[in-house]
Amino acid sequence: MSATAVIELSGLTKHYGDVVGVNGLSFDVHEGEVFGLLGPNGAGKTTTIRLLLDFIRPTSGTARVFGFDPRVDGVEMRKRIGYLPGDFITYNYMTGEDVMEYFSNLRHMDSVRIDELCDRFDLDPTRKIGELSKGNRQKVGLVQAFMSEPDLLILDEPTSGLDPLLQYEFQQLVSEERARGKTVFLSSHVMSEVESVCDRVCIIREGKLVALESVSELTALHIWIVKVEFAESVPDDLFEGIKDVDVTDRSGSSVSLRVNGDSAMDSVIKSASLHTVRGFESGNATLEDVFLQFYSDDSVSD
Amino acid sequence: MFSSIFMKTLRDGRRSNLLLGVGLSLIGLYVSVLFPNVSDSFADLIGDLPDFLQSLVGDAAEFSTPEGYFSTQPFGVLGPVVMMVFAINRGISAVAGEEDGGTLDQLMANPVSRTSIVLHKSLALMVSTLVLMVFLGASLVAGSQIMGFSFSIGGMLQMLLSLLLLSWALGFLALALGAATGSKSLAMAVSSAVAAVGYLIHLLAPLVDAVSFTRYVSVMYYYIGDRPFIHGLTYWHAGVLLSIAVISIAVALYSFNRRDLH
Repeated sequence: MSATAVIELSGLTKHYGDVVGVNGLSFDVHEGEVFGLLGPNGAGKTTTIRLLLDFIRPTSGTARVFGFDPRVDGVEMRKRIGYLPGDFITYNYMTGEDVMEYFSNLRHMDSVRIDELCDRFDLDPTRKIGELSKGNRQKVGLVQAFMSEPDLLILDEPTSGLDPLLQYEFQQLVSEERARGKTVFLSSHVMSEVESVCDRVCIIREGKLVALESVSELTALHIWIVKVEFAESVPDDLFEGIKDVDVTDRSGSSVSLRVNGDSAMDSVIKSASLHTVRGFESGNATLEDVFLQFYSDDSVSD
Repeated sequence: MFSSIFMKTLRDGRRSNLLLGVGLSLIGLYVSVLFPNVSDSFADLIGDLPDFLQSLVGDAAEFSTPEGYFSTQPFGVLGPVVMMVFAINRGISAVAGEEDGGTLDQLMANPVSRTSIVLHKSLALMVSTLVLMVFLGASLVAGSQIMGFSFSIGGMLQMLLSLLLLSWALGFLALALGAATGSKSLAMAVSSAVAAVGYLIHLLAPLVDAVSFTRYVSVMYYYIGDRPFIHGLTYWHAGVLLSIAVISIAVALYSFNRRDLH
């Protein structure tokens, strides 16, 4: 992977009065990668993005985008950025194509991809924004973000309001952008989306970085989802107290577990073998399971 | 049409701008068509009115000349009220309106600086108010031609310039309050209060000696206190209005560049 950092955050902190937006975020986003910022609502994803775009200013720490300080060189910086928020809001009285024309002019460039993108997402650009459904409005946002072929796409929960078919089309588009060497920074709370499009993912919670991993490494962490079927009910405390094992479900004679690491798996099998086992399923954890692991286990965060 | 923030802002307001322009022209025409009648007969009538009412409609003597007559109508009452309301509305919608409507983020996501947003919107406010002045001035000239009387064009231009400066003072005050706070309601409340209090003092100060010194806090005083249509602009009065506008733009630029968007 190229070492060129497109986004560099260093101790980035934003307080709103007593409320912490983000707290000491430090990470780099490399050129040509699709980087996912993952976290529940209120984790600080939108705050991070608004800091990058210079909509708000950090309390302390720094952000650099293409080496520019957003505060000082915001105009130069934003020339190279396409932005799409989760809820794209623009002038209701204008048509989609008027909005695209306006923003193209502000960017001083021919937006070569408007027709192609409108066709692809089946968008009628002659209709007024105010008359569009949430999903169609979001499509206008998508087209204006991608139309100028920016080097960096900053997408804040971009697929909210899009139906599954369009979400898939969107993921294709993101993959194509990466293939063209563009950098994509997207936030999401949809695990499957991050898993299928991102190279690396940063998990944040309450404004703090919890984990930063490549998606393939995260999914390759030895976390298993295990379901054991016993011949009869087993004591409630079976599997309790085993390190790195969480009992996620217990119904009748079957027990579901999230098992973190090889030695924990060994302990699980040995404990289970004390009883009559009817069935044993184990599968690799999805990113969602890994994510839940991070969120359920406080010791991981600090 | 959408080549810049300035052009787009003008275009957004073009309908209300033209409608109001036509409205002001009709007022201008109506007022000038009435002048010959008024100057003949109304002067006597108004002379009998109590002082308070006289100050509302103007001095009786003023009705004998077009310059004096126009100073009371349309420039005494309707003109400044219409222009202040128009300019305050435009000023508020410039920044606070976009922020309140949620459209500012997406505008700011483009490679435009906050300074350029304020300057483009300010320029649009200046042009749209200037357009209204052209409508109003043209209608007075047309009306006088129709009725066959004449008046000082230089006086009218200075009167129009004073009205233009009044609307800029209030419009940019509203723009600055909106740009500094992002709050439409605050910008509306404060700038309307400045206009309303100014208007009230303008009506009352001449009547009550004890409060006559308060006329200096009234924007209306600097606009029409020295009767620019008759006597020409008093430069320092025009300077006060212009200063309010310029300082407001400076405050807008300074504060908008330093704060978080909502």
